[in-house]
Amino acid sequence: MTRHPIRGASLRCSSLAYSRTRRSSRLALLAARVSGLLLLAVLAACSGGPPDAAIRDFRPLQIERDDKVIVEASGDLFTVGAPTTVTFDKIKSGAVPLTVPGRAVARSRVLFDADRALERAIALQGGHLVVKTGITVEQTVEGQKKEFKSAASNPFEVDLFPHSLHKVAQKLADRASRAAGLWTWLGLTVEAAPGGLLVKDVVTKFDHEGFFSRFDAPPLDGKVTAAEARIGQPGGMTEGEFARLDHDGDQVIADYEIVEEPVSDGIAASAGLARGDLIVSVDGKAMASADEMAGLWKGSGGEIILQVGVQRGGKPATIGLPRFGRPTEIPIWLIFGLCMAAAATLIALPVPVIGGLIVVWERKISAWMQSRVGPNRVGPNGWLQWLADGLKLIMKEDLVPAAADPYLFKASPYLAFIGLFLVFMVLPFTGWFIVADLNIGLLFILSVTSLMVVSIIMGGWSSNSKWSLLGGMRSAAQIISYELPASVALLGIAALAGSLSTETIVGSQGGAPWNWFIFRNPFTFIAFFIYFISALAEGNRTPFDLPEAESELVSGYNTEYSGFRFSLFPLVEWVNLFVIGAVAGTLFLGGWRIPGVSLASQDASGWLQLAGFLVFLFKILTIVFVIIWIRWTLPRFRVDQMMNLCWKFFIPISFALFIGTLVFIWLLPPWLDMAVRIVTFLVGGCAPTYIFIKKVQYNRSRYQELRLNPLL
Amino acid sequence: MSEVIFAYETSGEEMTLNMGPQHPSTHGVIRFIIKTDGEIMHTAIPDVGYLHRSIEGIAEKCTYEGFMPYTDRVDYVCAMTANHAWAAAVEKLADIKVPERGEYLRVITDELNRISSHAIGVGAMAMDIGATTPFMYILREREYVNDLLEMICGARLTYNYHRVGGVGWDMPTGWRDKCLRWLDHFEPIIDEYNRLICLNELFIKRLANLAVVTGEEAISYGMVGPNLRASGVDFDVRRDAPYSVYGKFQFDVPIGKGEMGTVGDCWDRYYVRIEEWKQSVRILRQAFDQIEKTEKDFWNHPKKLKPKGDAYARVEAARGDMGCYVVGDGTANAYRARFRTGSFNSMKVIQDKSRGLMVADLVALIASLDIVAPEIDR
Repeated sequence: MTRHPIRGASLRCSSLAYSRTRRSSRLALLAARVSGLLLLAVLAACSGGPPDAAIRDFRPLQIERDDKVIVEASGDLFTVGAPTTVTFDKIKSGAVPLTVPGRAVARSRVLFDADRALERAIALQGGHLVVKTGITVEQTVEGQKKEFKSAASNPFEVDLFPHSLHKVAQKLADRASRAAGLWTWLGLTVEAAPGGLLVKDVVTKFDHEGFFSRFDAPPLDGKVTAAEARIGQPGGMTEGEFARLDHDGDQVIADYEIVEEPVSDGIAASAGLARGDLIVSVDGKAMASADEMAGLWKGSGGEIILQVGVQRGGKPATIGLPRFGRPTEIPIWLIFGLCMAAAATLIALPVPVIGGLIVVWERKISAWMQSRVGPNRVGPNGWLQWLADGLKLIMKEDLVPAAADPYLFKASPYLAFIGLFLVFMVLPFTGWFIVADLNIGLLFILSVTSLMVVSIIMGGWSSNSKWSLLGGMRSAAQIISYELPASVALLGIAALAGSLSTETIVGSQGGAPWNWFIFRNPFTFIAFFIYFISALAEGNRTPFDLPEAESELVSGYNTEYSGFRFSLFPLVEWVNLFVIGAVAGTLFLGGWRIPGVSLASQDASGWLQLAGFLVFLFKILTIVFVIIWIRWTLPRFRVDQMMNLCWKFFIPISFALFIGTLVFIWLLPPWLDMAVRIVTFLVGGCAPTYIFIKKVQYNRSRYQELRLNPLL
Repeated sequence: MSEVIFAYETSGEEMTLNMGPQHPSTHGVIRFIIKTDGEIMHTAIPDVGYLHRSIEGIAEKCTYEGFMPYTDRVDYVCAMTANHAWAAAVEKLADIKVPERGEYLRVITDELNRISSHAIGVGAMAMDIGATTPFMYILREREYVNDLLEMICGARLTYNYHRVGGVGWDMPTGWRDKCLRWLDHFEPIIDEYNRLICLNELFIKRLANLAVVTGEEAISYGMVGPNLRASGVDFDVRRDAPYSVYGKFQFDVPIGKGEMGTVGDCWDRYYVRIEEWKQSVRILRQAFDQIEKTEKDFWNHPKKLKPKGDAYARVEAARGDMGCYVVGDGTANAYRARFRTGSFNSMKVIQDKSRGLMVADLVALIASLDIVAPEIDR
């Protein structure tokens, strides 16, 4: 909610009109008009960019180096192929606003790369920046300059980000910066000289605080000049600090920790190294360049950690560098490993808990729907029942039938497990909390979930039981068929968002329901249901639970499983509910966007991130509830009916919807866009909800009559 | 679906699938030897006899009255009518007159038990089609019936309530009011149940036009009861060969109309049972009205029961015309007893109609015939 132009206008009108009329009927009419205008104003305020500005959108709003940034016009304004520049009004490069070269990739789109120049400009303004800036795109068409500006009243809140964790890790891999880190830690500034390395400077007073505070500093470009660094001036750098900058790359990175008390002198200084010394070798290895230091440090040994061969005034000497701290060179694979283990723990540990809690929830809902009590013994109100069930299953014998194919039989549950857990990689829980915002996120989800079908066929076939085989074959036919409509239904969303990245898809929706993709146009509205039903089929849920139809196939593909291996199948099935909810919530229901909060401000605040997560969770659980509700209401399809539904109806419809969405994107004028959203929201969202509530009220009114025990 | 099946050429590769005797939806201990090609069945051969308990042999070994508890086991889902069939046959053999109140109590318990038996039938059918909740809903109503029957005879499943010459006990105080209150409660429940499952689009699609048994076929197979009526044959023992006091009641006989598909399909067999609930409620209301005017006597206890000759009595059980044939030789035991039950005849129907169906349809077909395994084997 950044602008209120219409709201202001409407308030003025109403006060004028109010003073002139007294009659109540007119007042009522007026009140209706005013409230209508107010409503419109709120709608407009919640919606996207202003209709009058040439530049409508800009994303990602969070820019890191190497990002491709898209500037979107409100219409077909640009000329493809013409020389193009993008200028940020508020970000200065020296004294003038920063201008970067771009290229018009479409008539409504200009693309530019966040390159080093942009980053340097950011760095010089103090690192992590949130700048409200206008954007101007300039094009030279046939010698004539054309300018397109964003609305002055609505500057973009651009978030310029320092390097994130994986980029730090990349730097650690960089030999040069590792070596530089070690030199800095030793307190030496060296440069290559004939015969070795010349000591340019020795830090006598090792400024630990200052040294470590540099790690939080923004990455600086290599080409910082002395003038820019303002050496010696107030607020500027000291000469030593300036010298310690890695002039070829970025800020030096320390990859060690001080575990003992630091000393006040630099290590090299206390060992007796002085300016003008020529370092010939370190630990017996000749030093031709400063980078060779990188491979030497093992972080082991006694008091003397490095033997430095030195020439001072032509005379050779050996100086042992004493151990004051214990630098540890953490291998890069370990860093990656630790990061991955941490992320895996963070994501994978709650997953069984999620699955378990959904199991209990489903049992409680089913009990509620069937006038039963449900689990209420283990833990508070029975909410730990899943733990008891899981423990029981784990303690049971792991049985492999004698006639089964043991390897496939044993491997099958894990495949299902892997296929499902991988989806959690790309689920955007908040703008910050995502394991990997892959630029092929959507494709990734669709492809890893297909692992499930491999697992089910493997399990069904390798059990060597006819019931399992039938279940496995049913499942193969079912999941493979329903993947098609599900994928095509999601294609429209990818087209709307212009990206497959899940975060971008969430970012291109709004917080308010009419800005969600489900209500974006009538086609996406139907596509949501196509996706939802197909997801039910992919997840083997009623009314598509044929692979494990207990009344027909005993237990379907998992008939022969027992113990822990068996427990994985239900776990995967229930976690899958969560995934269905999360995917639908991300793609159609606005993900973690909070109504009335702009993307930039949500991205800037930790509390809003948490709130966004809760909003997302609420959407997920709503969908999970609906799925459970359906399961305990509907009967099951027959195999041929299920296949007919998919191939004769869902696949053609989903393709038609995809084409319809494309046509909408192509032809819909911007001023009509909002109207379409609102109408879709009212017809598709509000009306069914109203009818549903009325129906529930009617049923509630009959509740007493039907539910009282007639025998009491 | 049917044209798909008939256009389908068998590949010659058959898989023999053994469904049962331990299978969730064979409704008891029955085994079906299924020859399938993938999902499509070539045939399903019923293999009965897993639940044979020689009930008819036992009848020759115990007294006429002592055999009554065993009749409960002929069809444990609807034990009252089996009680009734035995009692009626022995009474006919020994020429015993039953007091009017006893007859009314028999009819009331019969009809209550018919409702509970149909509840199991339609509930289990919905569950076999994959809908779990309707089963729970309708079993709650069955619990009320069980409570009512427990109040009158002390048992919830195998009642042993009817006696030769009457019934074991009179109604307890207040029982009639409780029954009437329950009937008021049950009638709207039928509508609710219809909204919940019977008219569900998926449910109808699964059952309509499935395993159609025409009226002529039904007669030639010897099908009885709701299964026969679902095929459009308007026959009910209660109306067409009235026994007990059924002649005094006004009620309709629901028959299959093919509303959702063809006359005699699975959905008709299902829906006839729902309609029979309504008729049972009608009969019960009339019976409770009329029982007020009867004498107190409910059991004409025969002093000596050593009849000679033979007799055949038929009653309308939940699964249709249940016949009981007794031969007496002048001793306290029957010389020979024989029960004729509905489920046994349905077995042949399953074998013939299963050709070309899918495995899932077999489950629906078994359920629609409302088969109870002990009734087949006895």
